[in-house]
Amino acid sequence: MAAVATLVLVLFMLPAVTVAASPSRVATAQPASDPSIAATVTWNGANILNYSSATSAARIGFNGVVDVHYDWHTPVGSAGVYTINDARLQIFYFGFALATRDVLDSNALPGTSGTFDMNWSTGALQYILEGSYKLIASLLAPNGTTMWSQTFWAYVEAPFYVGAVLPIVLILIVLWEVYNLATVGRQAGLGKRPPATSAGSGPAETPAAPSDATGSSTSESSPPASGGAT
Amino acid sequence: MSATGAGAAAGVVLGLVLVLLAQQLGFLGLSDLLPAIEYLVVGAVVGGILFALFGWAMGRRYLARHPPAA
Repeated sequence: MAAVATLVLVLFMLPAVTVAASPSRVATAQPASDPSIAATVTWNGANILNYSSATSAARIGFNGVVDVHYDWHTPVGSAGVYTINDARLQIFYFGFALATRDVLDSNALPGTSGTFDMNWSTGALQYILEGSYKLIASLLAPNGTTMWSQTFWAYVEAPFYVGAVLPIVLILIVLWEVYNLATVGRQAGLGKRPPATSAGSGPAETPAAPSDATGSSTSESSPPASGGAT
Repeated sequence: MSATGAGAAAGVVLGLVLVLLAQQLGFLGLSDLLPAIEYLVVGAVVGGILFALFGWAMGRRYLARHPPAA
């Protein structure tokens, strides 16, 4: 039981360890601090606003690659020009960024519009994890300021719906615990039975030997004493 | 360990595992830390209580069918 609990904790910590080992940055995407730019991000051609909840998540298959297209511009009537040199996509699990992908434009110039293209996949994570994940698409200025961001959801599909490491291990743990629960009465019953049976047989034999030995020694010694007197 | 304790321990593990499994199968979102921790705590507590009762009942049932020798 303790081993299973330890395994669950290890699995629970696995994504955090993955994050610590990877060079990806901690989540910094926030609501756009500057509302002066507007942007549209498409996920294989569909606007990510269509995937605004876990139940309407975009789907990505095993080894799937998604074309993420960023298109930003200043609103009509705005006279400002902006420099956007970084399009970022982050996937989150327990509040941590499991993976961060950036498309950088090292020669970005101030302007009123721009585009970025990103081919995104879950990479090695797909062998470990599946399920629904929150993603944040963001556009950053050269000084690191988040100029625009949008949250959406994606469902990472594994083969046969459970064909990644984590769900398989979780299912095995469930089966093991269900087996433990099914036999919990018998285990507890057997734990109580041995003291009752051993207490009846053990002490009954142990005192018998000394009493016999004592009885035989007295019976053997007394007849010669009485016989000798007669 | 008593049947109640064994059931509670298994229930806590099951509660945690089922929450994680629900996320893996797409029924639950655990991307944000705070609701994810809440889901896990609720799963562990509910699983522990429910399966402690289950273990207690299983222990009683087994001992009723197999009474210890007098």
